[in-house]
Amino acid sequence: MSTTSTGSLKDKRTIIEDKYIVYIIGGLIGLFLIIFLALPVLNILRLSLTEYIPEQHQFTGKLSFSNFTGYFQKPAMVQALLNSLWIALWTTLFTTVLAFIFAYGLTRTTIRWKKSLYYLAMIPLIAPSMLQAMALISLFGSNGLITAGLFNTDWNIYGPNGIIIAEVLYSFPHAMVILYTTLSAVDSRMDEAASSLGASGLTSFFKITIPTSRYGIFSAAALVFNLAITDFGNPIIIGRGYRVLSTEIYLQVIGMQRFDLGTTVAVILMVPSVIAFLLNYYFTKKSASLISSLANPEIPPSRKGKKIFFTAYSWTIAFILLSIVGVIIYKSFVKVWMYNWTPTLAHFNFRIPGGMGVLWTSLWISLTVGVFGAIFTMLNGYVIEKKNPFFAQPLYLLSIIPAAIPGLVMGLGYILIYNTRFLNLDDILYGMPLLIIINVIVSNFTLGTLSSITNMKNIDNSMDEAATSLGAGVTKTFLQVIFPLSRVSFMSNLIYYFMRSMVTVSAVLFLISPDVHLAAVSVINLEKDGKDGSSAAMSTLIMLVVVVVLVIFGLFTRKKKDVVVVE
Amino acid sequence: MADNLVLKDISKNFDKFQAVKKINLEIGKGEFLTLLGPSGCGKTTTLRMIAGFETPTAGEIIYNGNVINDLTPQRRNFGIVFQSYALFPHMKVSENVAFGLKMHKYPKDKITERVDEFLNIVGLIKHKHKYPPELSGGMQQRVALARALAPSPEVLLLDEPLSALDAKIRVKLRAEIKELQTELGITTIYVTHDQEEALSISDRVVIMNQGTIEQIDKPVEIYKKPKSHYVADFVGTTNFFKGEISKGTLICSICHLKINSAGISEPGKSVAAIRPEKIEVLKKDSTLKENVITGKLVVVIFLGLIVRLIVHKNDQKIIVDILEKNFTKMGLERGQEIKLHLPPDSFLTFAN
Repeated sequence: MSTTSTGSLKDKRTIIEDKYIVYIIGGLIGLFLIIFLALPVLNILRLSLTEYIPEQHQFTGKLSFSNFTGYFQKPAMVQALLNSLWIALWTTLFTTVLAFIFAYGLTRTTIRWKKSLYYLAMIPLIAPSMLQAMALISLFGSNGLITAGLFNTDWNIYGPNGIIIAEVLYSFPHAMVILYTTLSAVDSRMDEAASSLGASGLTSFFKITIPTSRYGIFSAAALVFNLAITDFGNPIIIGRGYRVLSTEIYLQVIGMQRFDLGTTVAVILMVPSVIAFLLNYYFTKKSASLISSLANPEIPPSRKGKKIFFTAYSWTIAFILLSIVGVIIYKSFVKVWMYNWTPTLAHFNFRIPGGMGVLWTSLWISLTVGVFGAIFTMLNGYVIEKKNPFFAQPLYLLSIIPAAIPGLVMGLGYILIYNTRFLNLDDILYGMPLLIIINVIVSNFTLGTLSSITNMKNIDNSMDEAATSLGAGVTKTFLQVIFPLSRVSFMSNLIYYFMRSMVTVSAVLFLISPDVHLAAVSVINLEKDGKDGSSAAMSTLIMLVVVVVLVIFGLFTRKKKDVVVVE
Repeated sequence: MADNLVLKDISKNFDKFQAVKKINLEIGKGEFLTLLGPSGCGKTTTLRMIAGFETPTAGEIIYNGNVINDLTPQRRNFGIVFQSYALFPHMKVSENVAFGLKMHKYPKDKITERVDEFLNIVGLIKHKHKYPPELSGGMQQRVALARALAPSPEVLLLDEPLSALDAKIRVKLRAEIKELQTELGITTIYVTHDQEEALSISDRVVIMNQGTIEQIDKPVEIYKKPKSHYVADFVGTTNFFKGEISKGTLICSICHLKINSAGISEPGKSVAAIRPEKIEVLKKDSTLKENVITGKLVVVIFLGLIVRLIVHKNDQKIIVDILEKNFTKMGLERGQEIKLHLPPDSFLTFAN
């Protein structure tokens, strides 16, 4: 029976080689990123260096540095840059410290309810990024529950302080996740060794814990800096005339049709944003190399004082994050905040173009983004990690760049190429919000691809080889072996994309059209129109939808028999 | 035996690192051949080139007269068993075994028949509806074996298939593999770093070192007639005496040994090797003088049937294996000075 025949060997049919399937898929993803990432960004760079005639709203096509010289001659605009840096630096400092202490409590002490605290810290992720600003205004604004109601003071939170606090609340979970991973991975036995050598708790904290987790701390700080400097939602709501780069881009482009200033500010914004991204990337790699795979032994019971401190601290933070959301939910059900506390559903009757429909638009767009984002990033991870074609390196590079580019800049880049008189993709597709979908997919491509690569790394290479040696081609191997084994990773990418898409404002701000309105953008419009009850109501609905979908996905993934990936 | 699979001047480079250096190998039909060597010697790379997962940098892989260098793995029809089993954890045992049959487009009833047949052979028919993670390591590797063999591969490749298992199962399973291979008469290439495994299971063993082949021989020849210092050192336990040789005598710092070995013709620096079981422990009153070394018995290791003695003579350690009953009879004790006899005929010599 061992000798069927050598026919299969002689039979060199000219079927498409597996190699070419990989080339085609990888090539298409690469092309997609070139068209919707590289070109728009490069085009912005080009336009920022092109002469512009404000009266005609037109670029002349001539190379010129006049936009930049013009920028630095306008004190108000230079101020916006300084403001942005100011906001970002303070946010970075506060968030990193606050999140570190929180993560330390969750990983290195024996306080209770750790899992609940972890999830509570994630709350800001389900809310649109201006929710923090809206809640702060409701509490500390000129007509705030605490400022006007409780203390009857004129002090209010508008301006830089408000933005910084809002950004801290917004960026907290992002920093916390990184620090949590770092602190739980760094071998806590080193602390024990230090204390057994006579170091006091505080000494070993500063001499061991902080230095060993430094890369994680730097990486979290760089990420927070990037988030704070590129955020649009919070500064536009709570800034009140305090101009930062992201709001400046919007005002110049939408308000004044000054595409020259828009692109110039966009380029200026990209400088700190790209630097922060590179630092984050560098430190993440460094941090990963320090992580030991040794299982952490049980943490020894913390001293009583330590436990009390960390319990109180963690719950205070959790309470603040929860009340930010709680205030907005409550606000959406009362008639007039601070004046008439009668319960009402009136705010849910949205008087905006699209009405309640914006929510369904957001929902189906986000589901589309989720499905396609998860598919693209999974294929991308498979091609890069498992198939490693000759262009794997450039493809990888293209895939991680999006995190460096602010969503707002990408959106601006899109309208300057794909939504012009000459080429209007949305028109071609009969008002399909294609650019919105693509922008959200591309904007979040980095994390999607990285998590997909991690997943692929966890699947033993011999899985792939076993399937191949048993006669399966690359398509069958992917569909029957790799995909089923990546189900969990696929779902979490889908959920991630869905959440990002539901709450993002900056990526889609330039891309909404008279035909397509999105819930998160409506929140800003309602708030700016003074309909803060309705904007709260819309935020509440967004969060509700996200939570419901999360729960559905959660049940869906748990119902199936969970399988262990053999390493 | 007709040559089934031939490696001709095969080399493989990874960037600047040369993993396999121009090796030649001929494997007969139905032969059980083992590639043995320490990690990094190129044995796994060689197997992966035969499987088609790596393409040789130079040379030809010839199967039944055809060069197959560029043939993708799925068209070679070679069965492969991996160290990590590589069972698909989301498929039942039966689905795992059926996978290759489906890919080769066997008709449905034939698939069911063959799956049952092979699960019977490996004794796991009772577990056909389980998922791989529910089985023990040994069972999983049996499933992997059934899966590899079910589509009637022409060559079976095993890459350290037993390394992840514990010692007892390893011995049991290797007997099963050998039995199955003999029964099916399938050409088999087996990679391992475990010399005992290699010697016990193979028709021929290939000893590899740093990308080259040191020796290809039957297990007993490998053990009795290692062709190089490396092989003598790698396979089994050997005592080495480094010194100057002339006129059939090796002179080293602690010894003056007469040697009858075919290997020594030219005088000069040389190494004489002797296996521990060839050395005799002499009684105290023995008057033998030639090839006798007196040393201090420092360590005694009880190994069951035999006892291993480690004897120190100045800086040189000499390992001696004697039967346990002789050890007891002679009343040897740690710390004692004992006389060892190293028979001139039991030496092998290598150039140093």
